[in-house]
Amino acid sequence: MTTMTEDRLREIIAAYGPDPARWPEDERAPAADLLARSPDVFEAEIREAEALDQALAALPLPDLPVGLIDGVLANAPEGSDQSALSGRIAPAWDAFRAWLAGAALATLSAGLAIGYFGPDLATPSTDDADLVLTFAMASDGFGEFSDGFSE
Amino acid sequence: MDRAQEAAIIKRAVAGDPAAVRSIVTAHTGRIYALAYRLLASQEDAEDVVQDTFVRAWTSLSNWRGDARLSTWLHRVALNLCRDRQRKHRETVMAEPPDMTDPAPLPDAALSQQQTAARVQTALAALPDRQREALTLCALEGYSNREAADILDVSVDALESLLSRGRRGLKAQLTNSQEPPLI
Repeated sequence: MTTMTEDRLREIIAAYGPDPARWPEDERAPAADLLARSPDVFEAEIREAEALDQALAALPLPDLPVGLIDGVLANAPEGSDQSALSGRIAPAWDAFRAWLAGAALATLSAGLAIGYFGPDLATPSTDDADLVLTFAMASDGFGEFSDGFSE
Repeated sequence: MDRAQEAAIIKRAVAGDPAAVRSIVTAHTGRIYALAYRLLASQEDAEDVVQDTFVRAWTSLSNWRGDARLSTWLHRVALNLCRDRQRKHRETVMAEPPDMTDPAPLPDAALSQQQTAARVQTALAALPDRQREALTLCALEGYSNREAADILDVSVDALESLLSRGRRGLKAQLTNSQEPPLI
């Protein structure tokens, strides 16, 4: 066991403060033992160090900001972060779903229009085909879908 | 976690394993943020330091040799980033001197917790950089003497000297000011 002297204990208190948990690990036990045996000898040093630690304790504890870890992960290497990856996939998926809804609506509308205006369903004309294409292309969802994948 | 396990996680992270990346980020972000916040006294600056520390990590970890613990290495990077910011801040302050404030003591003898904290923060800021860093690591963030010495890249004896002088300087700042003594 390390030999502990009064001078060394004073140095430890002066550097690390009054809390033995903060003292150097290899000197902690003999230092704490010496302090326990002669508390009066070190009373002034301990009191002074406690006052300083009390002042330091007034400083606010830094709370980890919400979202900081996610922010760091979002900047992690490409493809190495699942949340960042899902962040990139989600807009494309949303656009695809919007396009599907738009396409379904366009198809339904086209069918209704052909049924209403079309004179002869058995022999579709070039005009009928143009009408279907026009309805499909007029859907905003088609544009969103294209944007989502071009990114 | 021993060095072999740490090296394995770093290798997986560099290879793009999201679990390994998350493990590194969640293990170190809190302590790096706390250190940066203590040194810079600004949430925004501390967040930037954390982000920049990991950006540097992602570009450097592919060449990781394992000479130091990852924690030590990350803290050193963060510490250097904090020093850069402090240096720039000082240059700005020198270029644009702040308005002088009235140094008269507050009328109310009982200082609020916030005022006390502000005075301690000011006293800490007045210490030489290395002393402030040593005190921040050991007295505020609870790092062991060996961890703090590694992060500051000094011997344990040198760290102890920084801590002693830092505590003496802080005490002098808090007792010799024109305001009511705090300690």
